[in-house]
Amino acid sequence: MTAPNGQDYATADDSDLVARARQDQAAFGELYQRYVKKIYGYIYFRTGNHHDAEDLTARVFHRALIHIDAYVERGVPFQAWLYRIAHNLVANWHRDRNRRKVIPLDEFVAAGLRSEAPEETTESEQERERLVEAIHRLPEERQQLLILKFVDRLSNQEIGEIMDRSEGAIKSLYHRTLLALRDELTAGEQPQDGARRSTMNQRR
Amino acid sequence: MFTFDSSRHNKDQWLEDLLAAQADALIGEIEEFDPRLPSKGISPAQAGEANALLTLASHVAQNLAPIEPSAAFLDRLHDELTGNEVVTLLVRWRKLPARYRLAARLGGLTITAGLALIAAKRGINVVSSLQRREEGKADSALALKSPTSA
Repeated sequence: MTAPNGQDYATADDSDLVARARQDQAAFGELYQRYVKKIYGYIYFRTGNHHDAEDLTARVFHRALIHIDAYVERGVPFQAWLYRIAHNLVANWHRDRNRRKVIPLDEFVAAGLRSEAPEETTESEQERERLVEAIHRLPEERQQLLILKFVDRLSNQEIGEIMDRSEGAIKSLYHRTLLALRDELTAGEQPQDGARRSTMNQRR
Repeated sequence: MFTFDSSRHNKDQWLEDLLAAQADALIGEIEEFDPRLPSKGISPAQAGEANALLTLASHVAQNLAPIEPSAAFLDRLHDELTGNEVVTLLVRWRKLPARYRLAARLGGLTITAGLALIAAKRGINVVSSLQRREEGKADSALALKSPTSA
């Protein structure tokens, strides 16, 4: 993407682009190109379907464009600011729909399968469905951490900026998240242990 | 190869650092990851838990793959944001938050209902006045002629 004066925006850093985006929509377009897929992936796994993911992703960037004059990078990089907008919109989406954050899994199972032998596909589907169900039973911040780490492939520093925590706190949270996920998978294998699952979640 | 972060002091620090290093390796953040556990100070139970969590993390990484949005969506949104899209009434409508669109729909329905009621009332009034006119003509045709004085 090129500025009106011929400058190549692709090599500009985010701070420079944000400053230019206040007058030049092409600069905002470059920011959009850099982050739209990550934001989309995050929202997709939080909502469970492409339609809502597209709608909320569009709203994230429209909101960012509207408020870009008010954005000041005070310890919150532009990427982290976008994710916080996305997080808030997703939270509102869940609240407005009065959902327990249990997401339809059909799209997850269909979208994530890799090329495998037919006899293995069913087992993979079942395993994946169990895993994704367990992830969606986790508290919201733990789901967020797993999605930021493995879907959006962010570093602990970047995740810390988004979640407003230190890197050390992110490492601790990640450890606790895996423990909680293991408990959810174990509890999922024993459908009569609803009370035990509740106790484990409280302990974690 | 991961190294312990000595600035953090908790009993699970070694495991947290190990898991964090593995996660970074799984996403390609670091190239080399040595999954070997520390040779000293780890009980068999701790080692078992560590290995179980390392396996679980690999499983999660395999199944939470990045999802690509459609190219059509990416292009359309890009054009909206950079002013390249022809701004039509439909585009402006689509940009409104859902609650604004709902309010606009309810307002439109209310106005439409009001206009319909007004039109209906006027229509009824017109029909009524036509009926009265017809009745008047009929009544006058039926009226007896008054006798003339001799």
